[in-house]
Parts: sequence; structure tokens; C-alpha cells
Amino acid sequence: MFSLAQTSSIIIQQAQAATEVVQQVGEHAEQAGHTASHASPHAVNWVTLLAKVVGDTSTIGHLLIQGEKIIFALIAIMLITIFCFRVSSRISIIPTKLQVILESVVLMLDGLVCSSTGSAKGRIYTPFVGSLFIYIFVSNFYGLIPLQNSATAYITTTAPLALSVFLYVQWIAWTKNGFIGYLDHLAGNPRDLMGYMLTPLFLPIHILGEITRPLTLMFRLFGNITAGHIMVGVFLVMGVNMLKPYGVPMGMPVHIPFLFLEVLVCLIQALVFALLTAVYIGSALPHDEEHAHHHDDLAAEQAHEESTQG
Amino acid sequence: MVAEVASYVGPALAVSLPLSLGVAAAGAAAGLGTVFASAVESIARQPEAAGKIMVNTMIGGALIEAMAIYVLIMFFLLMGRMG
Repeated sequence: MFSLAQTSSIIIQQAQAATEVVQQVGEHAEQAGHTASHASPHAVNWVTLLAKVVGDTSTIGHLLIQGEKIIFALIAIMLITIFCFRVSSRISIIPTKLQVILESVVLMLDGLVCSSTGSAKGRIYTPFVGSLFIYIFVSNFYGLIPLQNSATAYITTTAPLALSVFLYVQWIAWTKNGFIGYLDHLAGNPRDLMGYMLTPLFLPIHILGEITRPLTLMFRLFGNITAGHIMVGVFLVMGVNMLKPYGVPMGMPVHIPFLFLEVLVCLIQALVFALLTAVYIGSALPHDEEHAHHHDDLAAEQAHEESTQG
Repeated sequence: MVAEVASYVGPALAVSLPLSLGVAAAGAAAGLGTVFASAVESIARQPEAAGKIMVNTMIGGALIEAMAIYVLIMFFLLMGRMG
């Protein structure tokens, strides 16, 4: 029992150390949010309930409270992994229902990325963008189940996601364009004398824009999911207290329509995150003289596919 | 004197935070109305492109909605200090 707690604490500490810098920023924002959220309802989940049962100040209770978001992130990852392993181990020519679902999701993401980054050369980036979409969607959706919470409702999850997108896009811009091309891309591709003279003005604005993009990604996802949870929480409290004046010891489930709205918000926010990532990747790739090539590639590819399938 | 001035923060926030949220919601609603109006009009012009149009509409709507959500986040951060 003692060694289990020790090893799990080591694992959790390592997982927390991997996102330490961003977590500090997140914790400042969260502390401010927590001191402010005494008036807003705080939905309980099984981890906080377990922590209360075990005792808030004991080792396991403290571990549970600290590792709550990590536990829910791990649950989301486990669900995705189990589902994908089960489906992909039994691939057949005549697909089963689960295989159809997985294939349609992958095809949708593939079409999204390829249309945002240009030709079929953009297919290399489908795993990254697709994983983002699937993880964010499953993590958002899991929070709607009663007594569960979503890991993406906290800045400590969305900030590393946005940071990884930012670093990946900058790395793509660096390696695909070369170092001089990267500076050229940051300066807005100056071609004539007027362009070069405007570079000192354009460079800071562009760099600021590049830094703002992951910030907006982070806050958009966090704000939407947290606002949704708080809205559902408010209506839960209202539903529980609704029949109190009449002395009926039961509540009305008035929060159910907002759960459906939340499902829509989960899907749309995951889609927006993935699509914006694909658009940022597409804008970082060398794109000036390849527009004609891209259209030819797409048309040639479609003609090739139709001839092989027909 | 300093204590008297410092105690105005709470009531000032209590007036300005809900007002700012209302203004942000009004701006977001105006923008979303424009987006969806043009979406409905373009679907009416070409009904077979309705799928693509709706996807782009939802994406634009999420981006506009995010602006109002930023103000909501600021509201949650400052909510404890309201008097």
C-alpha cells in the first residue's frame, strides 16, 4: 500500500514536471479563478468525493486532489487507446460498425488537413491534427458524464496543447523554409524596396500575432468548456432547489437541454482547435508559387482515384 | 483616505463587470447574426453546398463566440473581488 502510493506519486510528479513552466502560469490563473469561484457552483466528481472520503489532508487525499486533472486526462487517453486497439486489430474488407466509425472519423480529419494545407503532401500532418481533435473531443465529452470532469476544462491541459501546436508550427516554418525563409516568412515576404523598408514595422506585429495564436487557442477551449460546466452546474442547483418551497424532497432535471448544448459545444470546439491548427500549419508551409501545383495535384489525384476505383 | 478609496473597488467592479459582459455579448450576437445571415443566404442560392457552408459557418461562429468567452473568463477571474 505504501509503495503503491509512492510509485504513483513519483509517476504523477514526473507527469507534472513535464508541464511545469506552463503549469505555473495555469496555476496563477486557476488560483485567481478559485478564489473567485466561491459563488459559482463547483461540480463534484468521483475523485473529489474519494478524496473527501479518504480525508483531505492525508497523503492519498492530497494526491487525489492534486492529480485530479491528470487522472481524467489518463482516462480519456485510455478510452481512446482501448477503442482504437480493439478496432484496428480486427480490420476486415467488409467493415464492422466500429470500423466504419473510426474510418469515417479518420477520413474527415484527413480531408480537413489536406484541404487546409494544400495538396496531398499535407497528409503528413494528419496524425498530429487528428490526435488533437480526437483527444480534445473525448476529453470534453467525458466531462458531461455525471460525476466526471474533463481535463480540458483546466488551463493546465489546454496550455500544453496550445504550446505544442505553437512549437510544431514554428518548427515546420523553420525546417520547410530554411532559416532565411523563416525570417522571410516572419517579415511578411518582402519583395520590393517598399517591403524591405516596412520590415521593422511588420516583424514585431507578425511575431506578436504568432504568439497570440496559441494563447487564443488555449483560452477559447478552456473558456468554452469551463463556461459550459458552470452553466450546467447553475441549472443543476436550480433544479435541485426548485421544489423546495413545496416541501417535495426531489429535484427536477432542468439541466438536460444544456447537456445537449454542451455536446454540440464539445464537438465544435474540438473541430475549431484542429482546424485552426491545420490552417496555421498551412500558412507556415512554403505557399507562394505552389498554388497552381496544388490545384493540379488535387485534380490529378481525384482523377487517378476515380480511374482506379472505376 | 487610502482606505476610503480602496473600498470603491468592489462596487466599481460590481457595476462594470456585468456591463462589460453585456456589451461583449451584444457584440458577439451582432457578429454572429451577420455570419449566419450570409450563411442562410448562400445556402438559399446553392442548396447542394449546404454541408460545406454549414461547416464553415460553425467554425466562424466558434471564433466569434470565443471573443465573448474571453470576457467571461475575465469575469470569473475578478468575481471574488466584487463588493
